[in-house]
Amino acid sequence: MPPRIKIRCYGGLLGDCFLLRFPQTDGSADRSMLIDFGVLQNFTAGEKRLPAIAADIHRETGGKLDIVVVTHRHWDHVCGFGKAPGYADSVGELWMSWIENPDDATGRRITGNVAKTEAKLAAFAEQAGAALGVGASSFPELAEIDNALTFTASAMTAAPPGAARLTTPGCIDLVRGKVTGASRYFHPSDRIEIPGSGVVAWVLGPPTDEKLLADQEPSADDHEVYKLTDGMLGEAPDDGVATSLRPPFEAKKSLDFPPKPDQNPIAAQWLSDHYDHEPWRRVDGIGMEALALQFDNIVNNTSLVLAFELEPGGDVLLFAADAQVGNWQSWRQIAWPDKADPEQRMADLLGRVVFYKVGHHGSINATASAEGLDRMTSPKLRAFIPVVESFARAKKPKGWDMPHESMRRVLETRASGRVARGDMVLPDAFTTAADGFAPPVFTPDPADPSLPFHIDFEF
Amino acid sequence: MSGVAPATLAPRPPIPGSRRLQIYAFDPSLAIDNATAAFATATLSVPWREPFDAPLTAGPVNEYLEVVDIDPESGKYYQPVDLDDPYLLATDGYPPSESNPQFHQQMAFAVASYTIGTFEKALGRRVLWSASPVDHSYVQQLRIYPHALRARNAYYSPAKKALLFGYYPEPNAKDVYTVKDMWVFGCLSHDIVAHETSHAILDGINSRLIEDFAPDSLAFHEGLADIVALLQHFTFPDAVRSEIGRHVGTLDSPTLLSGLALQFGLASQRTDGLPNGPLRDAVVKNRDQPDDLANFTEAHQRGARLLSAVYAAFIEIYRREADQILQIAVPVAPGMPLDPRVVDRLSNTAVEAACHLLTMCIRALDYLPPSTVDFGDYLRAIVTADFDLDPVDAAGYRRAVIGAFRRFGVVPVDVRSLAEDSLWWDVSPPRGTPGPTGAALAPRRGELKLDLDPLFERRAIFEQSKHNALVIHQLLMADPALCVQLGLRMEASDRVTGAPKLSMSWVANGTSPFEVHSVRMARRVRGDRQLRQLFITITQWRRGYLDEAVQADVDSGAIPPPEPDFKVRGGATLIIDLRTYRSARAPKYDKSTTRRTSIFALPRIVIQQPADDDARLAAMRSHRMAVEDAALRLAYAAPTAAGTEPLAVLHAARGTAYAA
Repeated sequence: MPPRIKIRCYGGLLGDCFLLRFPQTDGSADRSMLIDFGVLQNFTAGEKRLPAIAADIHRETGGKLDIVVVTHRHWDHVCGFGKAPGYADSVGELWMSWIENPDDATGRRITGNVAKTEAKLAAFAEQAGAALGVGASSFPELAEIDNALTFTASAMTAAPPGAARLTTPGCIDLVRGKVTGASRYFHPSDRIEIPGSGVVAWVLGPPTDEKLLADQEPSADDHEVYKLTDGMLGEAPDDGVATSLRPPFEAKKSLDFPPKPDQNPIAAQWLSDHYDHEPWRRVDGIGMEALALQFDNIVNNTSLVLAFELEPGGDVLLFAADAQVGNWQSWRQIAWPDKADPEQRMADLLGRVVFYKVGHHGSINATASAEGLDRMTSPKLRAFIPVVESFARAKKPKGWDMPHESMRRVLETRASGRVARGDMVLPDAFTTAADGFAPPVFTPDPADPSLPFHIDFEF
Repeated sequence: MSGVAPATLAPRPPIPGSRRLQIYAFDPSLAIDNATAAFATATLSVPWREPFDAPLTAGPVNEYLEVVDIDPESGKYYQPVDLDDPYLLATDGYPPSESNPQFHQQMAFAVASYTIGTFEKALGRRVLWSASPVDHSYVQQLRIYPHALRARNAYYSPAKKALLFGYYPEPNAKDVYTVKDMWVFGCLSHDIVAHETSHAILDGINSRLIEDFAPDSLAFHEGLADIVALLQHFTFPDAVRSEIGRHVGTLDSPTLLSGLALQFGLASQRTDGLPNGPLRDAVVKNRDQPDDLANFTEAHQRGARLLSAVYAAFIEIYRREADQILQIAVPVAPGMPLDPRVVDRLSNTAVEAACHLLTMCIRALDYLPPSTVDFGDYLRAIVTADFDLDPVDAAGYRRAVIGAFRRFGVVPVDVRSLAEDSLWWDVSPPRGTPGPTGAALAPRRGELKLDLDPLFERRAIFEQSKHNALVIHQLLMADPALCVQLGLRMEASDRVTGAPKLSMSWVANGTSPFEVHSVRMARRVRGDRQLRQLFITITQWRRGYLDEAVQADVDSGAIPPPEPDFKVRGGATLIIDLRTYRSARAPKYDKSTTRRTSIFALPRIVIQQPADDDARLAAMRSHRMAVEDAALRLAYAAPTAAGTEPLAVLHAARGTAYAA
């Protein structure tokens, strides 16, 4: 039987880039779809691969991509669109989540607040870094902020002087410039037929419940203390802090922090003697660190999640982008137009997953267990982790746990060892698999044969 | 108040012993209720200062503490209180007030100082904070941030050597004690400040105890901090008197005194289905359930069992004394109040019992294994430490503690019975034969010598302790046979790996099979008995893996060891009786024959905790898996203690329930 779908996973990236092709039942040219194109900021070895990947995409599609999917606003998913624009001459349709829809008021508010928060974090990082004259390693909270900003590429690592600064939204705008057809924005419960292929894409995320976007447990206390999420998602004032956060004392009993030396020389001197001199004991980054974590979670949770069903009741391929817990949890609450029980539908779809694009480079919080991996019970399960472990682990000051060990172990077991990665040759388990699928094809990187240039799957 | 006294008619008065500062005895919630307002506040006496200590300045900042009141999330800064202002000296500081930030600073400072005093009295030495995480140097002051977080959380940060207190607006008016839109401040709760200060002090005694590698490590930290906060309640006479009067002499039922963090408990929406109440109450409703400790896995819950056991011991001790007082008192009709004189006697009894028990609980900290304490170890430590100082136990304190721990299922796994003498740590025979050891231990010219002079200045004590750690490390390295006798693992295999950094970086090749984690000297007195002791903590560690196959391969040397999933620490705690020690510099009139004794030849207790104990490794592994499993319910989330703020994560993990 000819394949219903072909997937090319580009390797060596610590970022996502997948070229999908849907063979047409009438024998005409495959319909092509590119899901994300990016690499983590400052990962130079990965960045160098972008032009070759772009050339490969162009060659495979003749410069005309039918569909580009941008899952969410993170640099490691979009920077290729800006840095290697040769991937396509034209794009038929652009698919994004409802949050990116400029006509959706909620989406506009969220993207606006996310941008404001990002600016606030960047300003704090710059000011704190400059004030302290220290790097992230001696001020631990800065590291977390730096991490979050690395994913949006607005970090302390500015563009070289003179160069036009490429931003994450800027990369998305560059894709828009190539679009000849429609820009489509999807909600959970949408069901999209890929023309001529018989394949259906089910949209599972991002959730419309803002609590789930914020990764808060739905049952959690409404008055959870860090109202910062309100600032990020709610109708926040300009400073990103919710109105419930009034100062705790009357104005006359407090001074502004940090004090201005010309206005309050005594206070400034006292603080310089008792606070400023030991950066490692500072606490003014703690709230910002919490904000950075929430910021990162929320942007990850805005991921557009697509489950491709090859035929009714047949195999499913799950592309969860970087969805975190809240996004995964929301799938069991989707109001399907056909009134199907969402719990059952989720269990049914997950039970048929034969290919899982592992979320967020295999990090610890982007693959749900009880509501995710534990339900991927198909004996034919295969997985791909878009990761370069050596680079992730070497991140300063604290390495990133990618892929996370216990998640990886469960995945290995569920997939009987058929787990491919962006930084390794294929495990033997693929060649001996008796699951009816052709073994994936490993195309080595010309410079380093131990790395894949790309790995091709067919289902 | 320093400087040269001006020439006046009268001589200058003597330096006062203490400074009196007002606080909320519990937290602000009681001050607004007429029934409790009478004892809602208290006045603490905190030490004035020793002549060699840093003076008190605005902050307050003194020898031990540095209160820095910035509120970054509000973008505010509250000016530091000057407790030496003559007006404040005349009024015992500011009166309790929620709306005066300078009172907040005063209260956090006063309660932390008082807690430090409690520990110093019990330990018989000065409190030191753990060394700087940056360069292992001396940290003079614990930082206190009264308004660091806008969160229902408060924690001790080992990485910042700081107490961070949160505050938040209370949005739910569900109880008479909490009013809508009121601010709730962690730094205004005696229990929370005492609890967090205890964490910091315990970290200063042994920083290995904070690692979450064993089922009870963090739970022990939590339980001990709660014990200190709770028993300190009973040192406030007004509150004790009022409660005893209210409950006609008994303290068995839940009272204001037995509950912790009342306001925060009421203010949190409970998620466990229990009615609103204090955050934790030491009185457990079904008291006799010896087996159910295993049912509790979360650190605060397990810690609460420890708290309940200690409280039950307190009640037993109190009741025995109280019964006698009540028997000789004129009986009162049911429902009638007790004679105030009887209430006074009962209160004194309660205060005395609480002080004594608290002292026992704190002294035991020097008698713990070097790492990964379980509650049974703690019982053995309490019993042995108390026996050393009071062999007779006429008042029956030890019996009460053992009985209560047994009722709560908090017992050691490795003893045959719960008779007192089976609970003692082994008293190892002193090493009599000089042999090669003696030669190695008699310092030659130019070699480092142990410094066992009693010192009083804190920085000097810290430096002396570091010096002695180096000397003891040297002595042990010269005598591998002694190390083995102490239970250390010395074989050159990969099973036990030295801690290469820490204080031992001077070792020639940069590694050593063990580290001398701390050396502490103490002088302890009870009645007519006096001890002078040296406590030595020696630790070493082994790589632990969640995957048993990997563990086996690493242990057998089949594969080069990958980064371990966790560390199995072990080693030995040595408790050496210094009363018979004579240094080489002993004065001429001292004709004792034991001059130049090796300290290892003195009577001692050795608490061994082998680093290669496979059973302990297995227990740690299943604990790690359980911790991960709990986190895995939703996602493959990080093990709780992965970061640099083990207590912050722990305290935040419960979400709505405030974790004091």
